[in-house]
Amino acid sequence: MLNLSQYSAGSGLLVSYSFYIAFVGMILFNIVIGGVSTSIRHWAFVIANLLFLFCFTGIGTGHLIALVLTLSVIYAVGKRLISRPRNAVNIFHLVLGVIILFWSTGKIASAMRGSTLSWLFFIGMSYLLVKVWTFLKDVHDGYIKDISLPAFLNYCTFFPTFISGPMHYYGEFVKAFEERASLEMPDIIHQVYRILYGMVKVQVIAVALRPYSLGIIRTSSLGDTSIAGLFLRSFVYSFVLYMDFSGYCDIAIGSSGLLGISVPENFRLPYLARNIRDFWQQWHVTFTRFLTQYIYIPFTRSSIKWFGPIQNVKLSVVAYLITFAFVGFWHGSTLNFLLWGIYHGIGLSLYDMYKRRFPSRAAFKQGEIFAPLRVLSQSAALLLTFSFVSIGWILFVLPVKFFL
Amino acid sequence: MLNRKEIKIIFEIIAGIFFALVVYVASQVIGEPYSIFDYGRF
Repeated sequence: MLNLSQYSAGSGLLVSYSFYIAFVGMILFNIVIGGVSTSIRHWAFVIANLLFLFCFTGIGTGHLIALVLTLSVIYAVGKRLISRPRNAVNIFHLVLGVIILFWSTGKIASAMRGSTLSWLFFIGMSYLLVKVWTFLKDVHDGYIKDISLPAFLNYCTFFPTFISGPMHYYGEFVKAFEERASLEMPDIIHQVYRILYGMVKVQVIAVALRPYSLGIIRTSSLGDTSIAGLFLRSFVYSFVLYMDFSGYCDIAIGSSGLLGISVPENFRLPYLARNIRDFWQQWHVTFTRFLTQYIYIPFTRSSIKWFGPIQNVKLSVVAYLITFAFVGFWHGSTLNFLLWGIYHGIGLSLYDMYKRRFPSRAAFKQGEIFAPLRVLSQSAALLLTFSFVSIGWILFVLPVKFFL
Repeated sequence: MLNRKEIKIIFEIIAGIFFALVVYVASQVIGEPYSIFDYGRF
């Protein structure tokens, strides 16, 4: 039997059999507490979330205590931002800056094995960063006016989506928790089907394809692999990652659904995208919307505010590069992840320039182009986008020393 | 005659049972499933 335990990040949240035994208990518990107030339900979920994270992710008690304390402080900051909006801008930037500093320090330290600062980082932290960031910004901007500690703790620690998303915004989560999705028999069947569908993706298809993809050659070097072989492996890896990641999201969505909490979708057939911008709107959707709304747009607006009118193309290129350098670092603190992020930033910038140069594809839409030519053109665009993304995974998976 | 909703439910039950069998057989061959987080830490 193949021993794959070396890859395990924890003890099988969402995928192990022991998790599902505990999860059935959680469903029953959720039914039992169905009649109590929303606030008590939030508290009950917080306790359950912490127990699940402790038992199935390998996050220790020290981290969990530090997590709850830190989140409580962030909640208090949120309260302060609501009650005294006068100094909100400074407080928001200061607190967010400190959080990013701790997160990035822990992330870099965790890549340098043996560093004591690596204690600052544990699995799920990068998702947590996004949740906290969006929470503080929404409070700061006045989109959230009413917050509660149990709801915030539940939002941050909600176990089905803790390690792989999809990511709610705070307002979305609270609404989904209060509304409670229908749990009639057809809904239960659908959610169980969704979990099993995800398991097939994660445990069968991704696992079966993995030996033909990139991960297996991580420890070798460029000299041992032909360029054609490398590209072929990157194409296979595209499907491995998609099956793995979207499968996890299917399981997370189905599990949340069985608890009566709806979760936003994270994938919309990304490999059928016909340009790199569409790809990012269809891949890891809840992350992309965060990037757009909380980094790209605020950056471009602030730049115009500080520096006056800037040529659109230049501003767009800089904003893409900064946003996607962050994307790279968010995924991993080693150089290859940063290069992967910048690679996508360059791709998006080039596409943006192309769209500005050739603004209208109206002729395509109005059917003025000969239909077979249109199909051919769209197929070529799809293939080009898929190839661009697939080749990018080489940077995502293989360390820089592979190429040296 | 079954309506679309009923067809969907029947499909999901049959597909679900099939998926469960496939996952069970795969687990016998591969062992315990492992995590997505084998290349980076998120």
